[in-house]
Amino acid sequence: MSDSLFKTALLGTSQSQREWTDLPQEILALFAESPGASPEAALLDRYAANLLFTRSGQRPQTGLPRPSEAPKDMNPECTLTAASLFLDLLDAHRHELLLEWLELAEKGGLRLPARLLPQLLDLAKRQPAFRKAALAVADARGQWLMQFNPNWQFATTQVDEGLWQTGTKDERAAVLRHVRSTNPEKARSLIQETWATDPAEDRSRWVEFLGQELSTDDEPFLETCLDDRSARVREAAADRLAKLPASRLVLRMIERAEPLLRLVPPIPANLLKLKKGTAARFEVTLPDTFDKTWLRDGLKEKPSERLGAKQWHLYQILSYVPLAHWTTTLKINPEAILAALPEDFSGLIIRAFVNSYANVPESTWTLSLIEHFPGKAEISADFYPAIPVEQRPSAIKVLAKRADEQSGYWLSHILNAWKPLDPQTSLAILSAVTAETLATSSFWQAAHPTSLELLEQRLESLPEARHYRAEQVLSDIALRRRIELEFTQ
Amino acid sequence: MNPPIMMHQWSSAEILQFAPDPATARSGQDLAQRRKWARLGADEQALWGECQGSGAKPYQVQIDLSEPAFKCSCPSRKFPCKHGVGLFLLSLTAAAEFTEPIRPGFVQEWLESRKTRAEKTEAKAAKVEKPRDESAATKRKTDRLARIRAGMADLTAWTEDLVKPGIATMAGKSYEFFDGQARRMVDAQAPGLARLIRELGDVAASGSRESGRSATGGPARLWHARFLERLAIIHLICSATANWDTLLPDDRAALEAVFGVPVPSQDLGQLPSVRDLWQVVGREVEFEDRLKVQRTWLFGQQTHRTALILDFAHGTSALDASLSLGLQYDTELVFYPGHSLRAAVRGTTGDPQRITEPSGLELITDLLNAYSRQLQACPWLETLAIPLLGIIPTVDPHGYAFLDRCGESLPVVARDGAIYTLLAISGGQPINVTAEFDGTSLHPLAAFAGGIWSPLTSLETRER
Repeated sequence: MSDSLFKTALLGTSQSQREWTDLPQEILALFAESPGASPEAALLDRYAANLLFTRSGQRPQTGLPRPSEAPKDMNPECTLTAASLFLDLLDAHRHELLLEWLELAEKGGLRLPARLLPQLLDLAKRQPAFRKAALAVADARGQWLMQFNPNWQFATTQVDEGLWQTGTKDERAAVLRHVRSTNPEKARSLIQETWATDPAEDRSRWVEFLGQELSTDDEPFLETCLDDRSARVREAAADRLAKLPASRLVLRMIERAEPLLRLVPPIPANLLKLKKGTAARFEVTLPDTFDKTWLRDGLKEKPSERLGAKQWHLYQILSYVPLAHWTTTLKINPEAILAALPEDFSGLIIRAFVNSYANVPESTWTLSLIEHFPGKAEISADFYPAIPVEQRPSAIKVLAKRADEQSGYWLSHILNAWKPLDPQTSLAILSAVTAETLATSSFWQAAHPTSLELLEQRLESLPEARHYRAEQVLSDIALRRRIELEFTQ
Repeated sequence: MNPPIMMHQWSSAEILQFAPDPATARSGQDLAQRRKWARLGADEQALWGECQGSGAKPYQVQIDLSEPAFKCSCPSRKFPCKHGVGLFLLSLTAAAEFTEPIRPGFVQEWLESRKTRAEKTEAKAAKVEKPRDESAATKRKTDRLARIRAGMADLTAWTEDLVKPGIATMAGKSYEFFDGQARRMVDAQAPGLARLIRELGDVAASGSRESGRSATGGPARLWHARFLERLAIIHLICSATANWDTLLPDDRAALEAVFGVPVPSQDLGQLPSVRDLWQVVGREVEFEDRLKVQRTWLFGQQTHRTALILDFAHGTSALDASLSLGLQYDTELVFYPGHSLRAAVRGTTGDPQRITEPSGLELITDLLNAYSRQLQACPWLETLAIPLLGIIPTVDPHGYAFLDRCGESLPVVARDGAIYTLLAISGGQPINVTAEFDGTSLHPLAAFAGGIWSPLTSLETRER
């Protein structure tokens, strides 16, 4: 392009002289006969001629290197229907179903067609929970593609353990999470390395990480954490130790609990029936004072709920005592123990037992605890994840009997804790819960594929007036079934 | 050569493109469930079904597969409505459920009425030489051209006034400054130039946005150059119009095309046609207020000619769907006069086939030569779309580029979404891409992947 023409155009014909001798010969010759009516016309016509001259003669660029070639993909491509389903779900922002799609594709050893990889990687960027499955489905081509977009570097960054010494709080947490899952012992020694200089807030967070892959090997270190000057650290350590039934902390708690809860054996009726016999019952002795050594074990002196101080202390101590302790030392079954609780304390004690169950699950207690749970109070959400899979169907039956009108509450806890549901539990919920509750919960999403058809039937049976929400759920179920069908064929 | 397929096998993505707006596409997908339909049937020409809506009577929904065309008894003004889209989608996932084998009355009636109407139109077209007042038409056109030439004289002065103070001052110009001149060109019956002037205004507006960065030198020079190029071309059109009386008929036609003077279909009927296996290699739809403009790019397998088919639709009315991306048609095209890329199908398209062997150009040099030839025929050519075979998309620190097997390349301008899609498809290997060339850089439109041409633009909009 001619610089002189451009300069004149930029500054204006009124400012600049007409001296465009740097134009190609051909253009100069073209205008030799007709210089132009006005300086402006002369400028614009020459500019146009030169532009066309340059453009019609332009050559390609050279010297650009070929990009690296992507390695061969490992897996076969998913079907076209599956791929377009993926796009539809993405369009509709159906993240819960997208995750199911990705996990099924990963399980089936399939990859997404290459042209959809950018969308897949963008999704994985936004949703860290999707990354594992997304990367599997992206295959080698996806790995190769990630180098071109700085936004997609999430997966290629290996966890750099050096960051434990130098990184930000979140980077250090990521290192710890990673190391803990592969080498629990090493994670513990990492924590100890920087223990002396980390602030209390960080120390308590690191202790919480020990909850993953927790084992008796962690006990000695956690025990030393109880001497920490920060209450938060002590409480975090006590919470982990409560989950180790053989820990010294649990033994101390048992020692504290024994004088508080004493079983009075049954008195048989005498032969002449002059005196009625009495059933076994517990005598509760509230702790007199708050022993200052309890603070070390994470007990709190001031009640954090509406309870008398002594009741609060009893409640906390019992929460740390594994339920197996009572059944083995007293030699009676859970049902009998729960029946023997004095009426004025039973609610408090059962709530403490539920806490203990959440720490150290005891399957012999599951159903009795639910049955004896006081009145209409809600069971703590921590309870449900601890229930072993094989007991879940019977647990649901008992729960449904206990508080039918509250099914929405426990159902949402259960769905959160247990999803995806196993076939038996899915069926148990289907037969225990009303169709309205099914329509308003996320059951359709957590349910095992084998119970979807039955769920559809239940929802279809709803009267027209209550159908609105069910309609939505039914179309969601249809989508789920399409996804599953796609990957099971 | 491929065996002809009587009925094109639609994909859900293609069907969704019929939806007039995203909301209809969405509700159409919701309706694509067996439970929503009371009655479903199909034969070789049509699909039908009854869908329970909010009214007492179910809606009767039907699709004539030959176009496809839609009809529904619901009150929606959308066309096609969600029921039509839903029924069409359902036919993909639940073909076995379309069990009613015999057309019900309402379908038969509709198909017959469509047939009669088509025959009438054909009959009308056959009677091209119906008495037309030739002299009145000629006079109308002469009057219009006189008005346009007067308007062009005014435009010449306007363009020249812009370079007097220098175009560096243009960045500050208001929208009204350009819009006013554009309106004057509409008044002079040259809407084509009104569009060019508005686009010139857009470049100036982008200049005022860039001016903050102009201290660095780069971007400022960029918009000035873009502005000057457009201005020079507009002025070139003015100068050519001034020489009207000395121009050849074809060159006059090229000017009429850029003015925006329509070509009567009778005139098109007189022109020779070009028969080829025309492959649909790219399609874009642009929205200008309530007007939808559809640009469909074709490439001739034998002639290696590019053809552009334009279609316009107002509001919610549907765009012509008789040509589909990824299909090829053994048919005749009539090119508009004036060395135009624009063409129209003569008669009907005939049965489409899926493109299995894409035609196109393999070298960047060939693309530049084709562009150069077209530019020589029509100097105000805007873009030329061509399928490129076996090119490799690359990313380097300066931007994107397409590389051919000889190591020659051209820069690519595209939104990130489209570029990553191309990279993903290629994996560093040669691929086929249709790209529009504007004289400076390539703009990718569609990519051939998994045995089909897929639009890059629609894939991209789906991201949002």
